[in-house]
Amino acid sequence: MKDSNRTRTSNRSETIEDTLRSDAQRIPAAEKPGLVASVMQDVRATPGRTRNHVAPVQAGWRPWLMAGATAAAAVTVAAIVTLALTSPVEDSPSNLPRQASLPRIVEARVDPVLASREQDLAGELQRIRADLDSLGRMVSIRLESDSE
Amino acid sequence: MNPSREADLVDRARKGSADAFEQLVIHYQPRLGRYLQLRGMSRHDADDTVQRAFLAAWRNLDSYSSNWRFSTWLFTIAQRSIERPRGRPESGEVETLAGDHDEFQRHLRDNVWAAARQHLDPEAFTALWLHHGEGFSGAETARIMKRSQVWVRVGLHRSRQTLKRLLHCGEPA
Repeated sequence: MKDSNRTRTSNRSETIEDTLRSDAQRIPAAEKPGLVASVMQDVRATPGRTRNHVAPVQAGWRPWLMAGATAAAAVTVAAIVTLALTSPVEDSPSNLPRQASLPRIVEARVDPVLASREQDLAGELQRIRADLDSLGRMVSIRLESDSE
Repeated sequence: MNPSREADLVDRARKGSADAFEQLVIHYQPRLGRYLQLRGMSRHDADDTVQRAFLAAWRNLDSYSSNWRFSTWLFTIAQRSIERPRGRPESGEVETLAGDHDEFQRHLRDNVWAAARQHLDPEAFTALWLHHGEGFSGAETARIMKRSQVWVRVGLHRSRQTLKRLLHCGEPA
């Protein structure tokens, strides 16, 4: 082996990568038609691959659950935003329901990712409410100064 | 195999077509068999492992992710079989190979892969073969071997250095 390696190296100027690739091609693949037949006999004898497997079941309910949870979260947020924007004028922003009363349906029973998304949206709403508060105060001050 | 044809065959096999799966078996059985024999398995054990790997692939086709080539997934399954041998040490398998497969051994004469198998540890040899022999990328090799890409890159570099020294001097450092 050593001698033959030395001879080959002296005869070639190829890189080690080339040698590995070309020598790999000199090793024939272990073709065996009888083995294919044997594998296929086992495969065909395997009863109901999809019936035995868990994945198709998961593939069936998981997207529905995700879609349902997303829709529920969207409806919840839309409802809260609508309530906030359509409240009577005499309701100052500070009288709007606080964060603590937000529904927790999604977070409680669905998915941590969705729950955290809902948390983000709730935080966003909190910030909007604070902005509305300060805006309301500014408008009040302006109205008071105008009336004077 | 053409990637789109392979994707089509996998898709049909997933829907339950044994004929489509047979095309995949015909295509990949020789490569898988060669890999296992190179890893030191006797022909009988290699055939047995190939058969079990394909059967496992058929049963679990739904868990195959098309983010990876089908061959990567298949070699990963076969690799798991090697990692869970049924009680026989690898050195014993090499002995069986030497005794049983004169024909296979003949192809390794004057072949750098014979030197690689002799001088590299089994994992380094596996990474080298998967990358340079089967043409898997570093990421695919890492996935098959359940190793990091850095481990594969460093291992490949070291193995090539060892072989380079061997080819130039006759002995690794």
